[in-house]
Amino acid sequence: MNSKQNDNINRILQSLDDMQPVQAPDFFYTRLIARLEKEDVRESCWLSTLKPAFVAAGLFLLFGVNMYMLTHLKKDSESNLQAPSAESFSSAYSLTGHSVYNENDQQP
Amino acid sequence: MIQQLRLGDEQAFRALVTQYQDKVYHTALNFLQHTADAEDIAQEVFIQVYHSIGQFKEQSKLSTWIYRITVSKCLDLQRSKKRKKRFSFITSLFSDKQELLHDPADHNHPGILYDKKQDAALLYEAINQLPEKQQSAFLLYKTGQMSYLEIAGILGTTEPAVDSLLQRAKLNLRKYLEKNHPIPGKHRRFP
Repeated sequence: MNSKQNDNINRILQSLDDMQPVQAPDFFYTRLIARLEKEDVRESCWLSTLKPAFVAAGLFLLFGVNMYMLTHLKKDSESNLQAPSAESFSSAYSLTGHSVYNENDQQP
Repeated sequence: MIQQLRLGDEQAFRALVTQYQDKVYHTALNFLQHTADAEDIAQEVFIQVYHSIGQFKEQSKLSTWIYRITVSKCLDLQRSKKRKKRFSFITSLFSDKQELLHDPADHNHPGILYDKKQDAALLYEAINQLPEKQQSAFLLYKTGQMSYLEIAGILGTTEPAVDSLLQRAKLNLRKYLEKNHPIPGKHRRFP
């Protein structure tokens, strides 16, 4: 690397040496406070769903739905377990006393 | 002041912002080279200070803590921008509504003398290629006028480590500039 390139690079490396301190933009604090207040409003809307009353109502609703489902299922299972009547039993197994063999006997 | 901040005293918060806003903005601008991003980050720093002052354990100075938050947020934004840039071949630079999605650095640093702006832009380009710790140490030293002790406190390291980071940063910057920005008009020799 020759001296000219070295000087060039040194000049670039020193380009920030005389930097002046920069001031924050005007009304920085005003904008900051506005942003803080906006964030607080947004958080409070979201956090309102976590209030104890809402949480309790949600749990009660969940409990109610669960109880309903359990009782409903219990009723269905009870109805399925009832003893079948004699007529339903005989019709299910075709025990009506009428058979194919009896029909054939009657033919000439 | 810290006790008053913890109690949510608005006057104390205003005093804190007034005291540190220029330094925080200056630091953010040097990391990001973008005035709008720097202001955005500076606001986020003070918002975090506002919300987290209760967790500040006073093991370091308040200024060190604030600078640490500033550096962290600047590096987070840099990483986010690099990720977006990496995927820019998938997304176009503009959305359907012609809004700019990938906003490059504007290098318009008001604190840099006019005749040095071009060199400064080249230097910032090189600084952005450095590993994060070297970048942070170099920027805090060069532009923040901070001592090794202060930088060590902000980066959570020791003074000898800061010295090592600065030496490596200067070496890497030199290598990058030699490779990417040779002297204009220099003729290459073909083997």
